[in-house]
Amino acid sequence: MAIWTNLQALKPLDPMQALARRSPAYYSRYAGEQDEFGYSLETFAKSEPFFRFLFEEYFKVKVKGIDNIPGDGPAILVGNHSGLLPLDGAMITIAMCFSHPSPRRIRYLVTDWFFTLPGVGHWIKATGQVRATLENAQKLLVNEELVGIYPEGIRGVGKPWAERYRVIDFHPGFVQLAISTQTPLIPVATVGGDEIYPNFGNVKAIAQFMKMPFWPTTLTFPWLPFPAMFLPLPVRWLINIHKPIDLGYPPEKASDRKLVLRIAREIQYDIQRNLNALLRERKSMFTGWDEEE
Amino acid sequence: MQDFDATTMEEAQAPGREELRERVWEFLTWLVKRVILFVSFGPGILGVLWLFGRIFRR
Repeated sequence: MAIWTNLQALKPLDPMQALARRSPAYYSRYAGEQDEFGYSLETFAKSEPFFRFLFEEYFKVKVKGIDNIPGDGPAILVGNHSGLLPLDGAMITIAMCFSHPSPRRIRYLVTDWFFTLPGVGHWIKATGQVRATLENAQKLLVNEELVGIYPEGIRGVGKPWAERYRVIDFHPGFVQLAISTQTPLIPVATVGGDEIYPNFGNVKAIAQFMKMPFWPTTLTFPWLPFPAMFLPLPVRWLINIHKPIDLGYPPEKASDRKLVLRIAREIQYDIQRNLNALLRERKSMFTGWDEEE
Repeated sequence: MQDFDATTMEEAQAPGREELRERVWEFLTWLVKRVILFVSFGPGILGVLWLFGRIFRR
């Protein structure tokens, strides 16, 4: 009898209870809420331990400037995209849930292609992501949500190894959105994501045949059996969140193409410069930065 | 001008054959896609080579 009681103690905690214990502010903010885009706190609670393990133990992610993200009100996070499997978004989500003084979710705008993957589409929605359309983005900002955008899009995710940390031209839609909705922009530079799955070549013929945006060849894919092919390199990450930028233009300026493009380029170069500086300071991809930094 | 129907028996059957050919082609494409997905996301290329090695060395 005593042994049975002891074994019961090993039973895993209910994910919702565990989340409520680890991040009570996050839990109480979203518990019982009905979200029109399909966010489910339960699905998030079930998934977060895996990503938290990656964040804390595997990639040992360092986050700078988390306080630059407001605890309330609308804002747009804009960052460099990378990593074949886009884990960069998940790492910032974990940081927001567990390291921010006023934890909140990030609603990433995701390309349609991810929703066509069997079994993945529902999970993506349930963990807070939203189909990338202008209407959805505007609705989210009206609801005072924190919206995440990777203006490089899927091209950024499939970057080859030789072009790691080279930010591809930003699609200017996020600037248009920020001006038309009078929302501050928060640039985010992420180091680490580009190296977790070194992509040595994109087999375009297979990608075209399979109707996929790219067909990568990494150290493990498509060579090793499942799930070894998805094993990322244990690279040290650093996420640097910049100060919010209030563009200060009236909403009518959202249709000024030249202005919108200029601001998009400025933010892109700002992130690129920050990435270059962080990479110069880094000792190596597996050891990261000095502790005192 | 010849006003008789020059369609041969073979040509009359052509649309049926064309359809069949298309179906076979579609099936083969579907099969190849499934094989690529299965190998890439299942045992991997090295896994398949190892399996073939085990079979052929017997």
